[in-house]
Amino acid sequence: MPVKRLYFWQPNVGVTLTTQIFNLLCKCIEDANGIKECRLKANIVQYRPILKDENQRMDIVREFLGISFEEQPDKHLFVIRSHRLVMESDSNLPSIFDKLQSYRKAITLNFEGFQYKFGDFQLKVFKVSQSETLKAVVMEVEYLPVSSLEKTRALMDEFFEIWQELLSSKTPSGHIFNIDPNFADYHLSDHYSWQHTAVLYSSAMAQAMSTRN
Amino acid sequence: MMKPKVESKECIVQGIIETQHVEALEVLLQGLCGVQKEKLKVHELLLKSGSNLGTSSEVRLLCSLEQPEPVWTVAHIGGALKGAASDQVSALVRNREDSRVSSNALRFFYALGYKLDHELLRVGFAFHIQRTVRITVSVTSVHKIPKLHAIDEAVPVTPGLQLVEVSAPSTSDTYHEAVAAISSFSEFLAPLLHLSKPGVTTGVVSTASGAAGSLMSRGSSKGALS
Repeated sequence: MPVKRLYFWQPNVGVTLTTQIFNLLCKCIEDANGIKECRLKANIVQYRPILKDENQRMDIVREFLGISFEEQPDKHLFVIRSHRLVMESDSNLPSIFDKLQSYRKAITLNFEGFQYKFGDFQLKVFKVSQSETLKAVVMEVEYLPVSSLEKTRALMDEFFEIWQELLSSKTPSGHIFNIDPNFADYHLSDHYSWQHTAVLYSSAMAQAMSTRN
Repeated sequence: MMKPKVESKECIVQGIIETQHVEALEVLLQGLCGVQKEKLKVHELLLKSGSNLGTSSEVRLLCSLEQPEPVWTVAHIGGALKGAASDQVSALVRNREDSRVSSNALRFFYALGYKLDHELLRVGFAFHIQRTVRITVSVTSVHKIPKLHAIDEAVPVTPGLQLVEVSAPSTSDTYHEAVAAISSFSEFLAPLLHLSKPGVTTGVVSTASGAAGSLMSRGSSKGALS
């Protein structure tokens, strides 16, 4: 699977996040001859335990995340960030969790946006919303020819710098930063996979939820 | 395309057979199904939710050890048909949903507060045959595991007997068809064993020895039995 990176738009202090930055990112890609391919969605659900006694100390996780990507309908991914654990499953495991009734869906973040072909890259720009509230804007960058994280590091760093400079010249209202989790903590290898992607997006969710909008 | 959400069920009958007659059963099934058997070696772990966690629940983790790489599945086996609806059918009909998972599923469920209740090893084989539904016949020896995860030290619970299960998947709307299919198929196995709802006590059948002898002397008999 090709290597991906995820850029997170960070508005400056005091600046309200709006869909303007989403539109700006899309326009930048289109102006640079990126070809819009399709609309795309993804979804992250935060699960929290249903406890009989909230006061009783429990040696269990406070939350875990369930992640689905529209382009992989047969697959679902789960991340426990506190344990650095990512698990892959068939798409029906959430249905099993519904039946177990040991965990409930607490927060849902919807990712909606567009996919672009951009030379050897595939770009996605997403608005990230919780119900009707815009929580974040992210951009996924996928380098199609190569699956090795190490081999693509320099190229992906350079690509990021180009986009960082481009956006800073277009708007002073914020900046993008590269979401860069330590995949080794999750026991993930150099060969990129959907589990790596799940870790990227779970980090984006944590960032989005920590940002006041 | 996302799969539509349906309530998945499992219809199942089971019986026991003496280990000495398993080879004859295999010959019979080979003839009926016309396909190669699938070897089974499944490490089954029953996990139960911790005492403070929601409604009491359990899941099974199944690790299939016959493939080059272990294949893990989460199985949720839920409530069975009860009362009058159950009385009308000759098989157990229960909710069942399986999901393939990556190999760290046990660590995942431990982190969620699930505890290992018990584990066992099932060793044997299965045949699959498509009738109106896909029927699976499994013949397994159930092994207990004396020390945590020590599957190499597993010993049969009943050395002289093996468990035979005939099952088929269905939904809430189609289970009558599935029950009819497995009941019909089970009749072919009647000379060797009696199959019924799990929980209904049956023993080995008196005709088993004679039937087994006949099957073994004829060898593989595809044409005569299909």
